[in-house]
Amino acid sequence: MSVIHEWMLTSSASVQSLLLRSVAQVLTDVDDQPWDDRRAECLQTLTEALIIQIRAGAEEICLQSLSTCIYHPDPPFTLIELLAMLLDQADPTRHRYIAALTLAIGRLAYKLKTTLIDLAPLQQEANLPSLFTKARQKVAAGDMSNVEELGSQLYTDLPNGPKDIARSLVRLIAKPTDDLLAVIAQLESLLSGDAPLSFQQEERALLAHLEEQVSALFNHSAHEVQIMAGAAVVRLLLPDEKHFHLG
Amino acid sequence: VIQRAAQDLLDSLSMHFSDPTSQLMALLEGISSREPWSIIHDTVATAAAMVVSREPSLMPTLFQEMAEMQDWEHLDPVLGTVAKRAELSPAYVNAYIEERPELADKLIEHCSNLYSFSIRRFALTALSHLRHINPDLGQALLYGCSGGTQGRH
Repeated sequence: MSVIHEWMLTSSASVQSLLLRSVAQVLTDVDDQPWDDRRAECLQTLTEALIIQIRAGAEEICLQSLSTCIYHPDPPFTLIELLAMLLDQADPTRHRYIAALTLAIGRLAYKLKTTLIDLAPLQQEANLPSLFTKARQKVAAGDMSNVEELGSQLYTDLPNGPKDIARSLVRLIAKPTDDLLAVIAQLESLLSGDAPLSFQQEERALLAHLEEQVSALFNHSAHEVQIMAGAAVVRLLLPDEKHFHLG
Repeated sequence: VIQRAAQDLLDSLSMHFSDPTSQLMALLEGISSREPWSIIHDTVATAAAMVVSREPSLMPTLFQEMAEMQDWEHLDPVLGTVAKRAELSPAYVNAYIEERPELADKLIEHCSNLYSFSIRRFALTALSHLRHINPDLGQALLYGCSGGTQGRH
């Protein structure tokens, strides 16, 4: 049994709550890194710790611990994965807990959905090759030194194209690296017309799983769970805010 | 654009729920004031108003939520729906509220809600569609003009 598990079993409620928040924070911190043993271990530990609490009837502590993350404007992928796992393993008779978890999943799933990028409109942009050449020249001349500048440059240079998509894409693929030339190369490869099918595959798979999970709750025996499943599905059905700006 | 998005949302929601009451509840629970009010929230409120418009028997449910809701976090979507409903069918809402003056009083009360700009905004919007003006509305407007600071003193 890990140290965290021991603490969970022996500490007071307030310490347990703090402990869970700390582990949730670690999950947030590691989210920018590729999936590795550390992230997997963290997720496993937090899930097990939460399950211990839920089985002990301490659902309030668990939900309060997670509530700090639920309204996160840019929730970590790992956190959404964790909620999905908790819902998978939840005791169906714990209605209030399931309802709260479902609503949280709906909120975070919508945010996850907004991070998905449809490459097609950008791929149709005729000026892309010249934009990339210009961007490379600027980087080489030292006129551009960070990702925000690269995003802004594309935003300015695209005449009629989907500017916000370009900007979001730059931010997204730049996560693991600060090397602007590498980001431009990656961008070119993605938009070359044969974008790898694996692009955002992990996010899409999780979203599909969340939709299945939520839909399965429509026929739950408790009315409050049904309503929250409905609320979650509303979030999942909502168009991305970008949709309105692209008009 | 919002109307079209709301219609699309309702069409998709109908595939999951055929019962209008469940549709309305799901829409009202789907948003909360913990997030800044955005075009997405407008879409949900418009969809909820459209549900009530198609199923007039839901009017009492909507206004009951408005009158009894204690949780200010969930009052935003309810008031947003009432305002949108008044905008879509002013005559119908007028007739409904004229028979129930306590609802107009409640809207006036919400005009000076301390916690939410959106609640104050939606309450005023809904009141603006009423044909008969309650004398207390003047006080609510003065409150709004003062930037909502009177209630804090």
